[in-house]
Amino acid sequence: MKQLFGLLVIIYLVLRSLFTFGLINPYGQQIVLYTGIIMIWALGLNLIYGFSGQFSLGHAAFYGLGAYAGALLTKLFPSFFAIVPLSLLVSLLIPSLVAFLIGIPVLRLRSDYLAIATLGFGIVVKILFDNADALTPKLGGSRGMLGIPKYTNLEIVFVFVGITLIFIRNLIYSKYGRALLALKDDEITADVMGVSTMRYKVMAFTFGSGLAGLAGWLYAHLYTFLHPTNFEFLKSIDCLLIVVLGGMGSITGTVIASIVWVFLIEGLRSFLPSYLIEWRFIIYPLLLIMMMLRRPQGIFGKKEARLFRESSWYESFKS
Amino acid sequence: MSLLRVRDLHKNFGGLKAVNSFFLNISPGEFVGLIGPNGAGKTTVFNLLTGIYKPDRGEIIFEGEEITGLSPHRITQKGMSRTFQGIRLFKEMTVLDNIRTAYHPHIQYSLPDALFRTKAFRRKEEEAMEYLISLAKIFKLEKWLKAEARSLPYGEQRKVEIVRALVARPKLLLLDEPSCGMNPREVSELMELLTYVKERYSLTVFLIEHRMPVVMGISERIVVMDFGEIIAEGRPEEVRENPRVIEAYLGKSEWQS
Repeated sequence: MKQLFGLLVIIYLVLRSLFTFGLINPYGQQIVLYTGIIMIWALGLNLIYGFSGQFSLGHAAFYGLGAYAGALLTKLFPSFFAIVPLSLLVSLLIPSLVAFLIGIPVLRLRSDYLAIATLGFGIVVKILFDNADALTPKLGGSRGMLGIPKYTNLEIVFVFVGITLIFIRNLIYSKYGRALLALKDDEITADVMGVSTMRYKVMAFTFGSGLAGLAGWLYAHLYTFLHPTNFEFLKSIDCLLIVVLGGMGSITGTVIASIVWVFLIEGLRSFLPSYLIEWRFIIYPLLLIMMMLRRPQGIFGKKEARLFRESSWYESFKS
Repeated sequence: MSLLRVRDLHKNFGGLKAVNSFFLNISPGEFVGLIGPNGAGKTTVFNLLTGIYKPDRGEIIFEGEEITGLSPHRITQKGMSRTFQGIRLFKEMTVLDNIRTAYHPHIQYSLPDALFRTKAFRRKEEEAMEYLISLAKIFKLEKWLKAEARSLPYGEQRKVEIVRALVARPKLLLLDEPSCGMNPREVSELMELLTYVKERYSLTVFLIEHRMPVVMGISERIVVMDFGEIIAEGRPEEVRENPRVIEAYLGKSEWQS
């Protein structure tokens, strides 16, 4: 915990000084913040799919729900100070609640059926965003939602990345986390061993979707513009790729894969000559194919950096 | 009062009567064997008792409480745990995490305790760890604790399964062919261990076993099944002499009839 905290503080201080002294241009700064957001989003899916084995294709929908719910509040009451924490809470709770409610019927399904059901849910939500202007014009519908205040900064992103990392690690190395890993490994046996599988599946789905919602809030208040296509089905696939690329059930993997992925998609924009920019979408699928051929378990497999392992008191029980 | 009472249990798969009118009473502290040829329905009985299958008809009473149709984890938490015929460990988890998972209903802290790593969390986890390690030592598994379950030799995996069933703190332990795939020496070691464990944790054991000598040596009472029905029941020496049992195992010869 202390090591992780210390590392986060050091990275924060380095980035803060780079930002303050203008060593990273505003576009670069935006990419750095975006990386943190992607991390939170993908860690949510890693909890659902990587650790608990529930194949969800609707993760972008929860990201969107968080983004739109939070943005609507801050747009409606821009001068009300307490709106930032309040809207954050709403962005966290609405996707969690929706996940909880649809999770109960949907998580009864086994993996491939679950994928189709969550895919359907994702499409429904995207159509909802397309037509949201019927609800209130402020949501913008298919023309996109404009005029969201910019609240997301380095500090907010860091606080939430830190909390997410610590909470996920603490959860995984508790009886709750072990129950999740067990039900991923063998659901029937987990049930016979006293794990209330349904309860834990719903828990992981609710938590993971809440994290997606949180990431959505940060996204909305970073770019100050939302469009339904930001939350379509393909975005769910992107998230899935990050989790698989990094290694299912590895916190370290998701963190590194988020950085790699954002760099490939956004970072290469500044490095590649303009006539090669669209090649990014060739480069990264090729990378994925290579990856699946050479290392199907992802960059890290299930391995964790020391920071994300079960803490030192566990090591003291060397037998 | 009997620990387990099963009345008129039925289970069909399509047209196949896998279990047909199964009755059973097990008193606390008994060691009961369940034998029968392949496909007799023994494992189906276990799956019905532990809630993996729902019976078509009949009732299962455990400690005076009806548990028919409850989900497996509820039944386990009431004090019935089992091992599986083909080993079903959590393959990708360590041996320690396998048994810690089964122990989880007995580790009591809340979700916030876990998320914030409170004192209560640490204390309970450490207590659990000490208990589980001491148990692993009884089975001489301590050197495997941090190994992935699937990396263990077959016989050791069996032992891990038994330990995993034990940490759920059962009153009734169901063992589905625990000696399957073991050599004679391993089998006799296992049987000694089982007798020890039964006394030590004052368990009641219900054992499916294929090998007649093994089950005859260890059980106080034996139930014999064939084609989903009970064909004989009694003390080992009675069952051994029973013509219907001999017929089920060896077949009926032409000249005898």
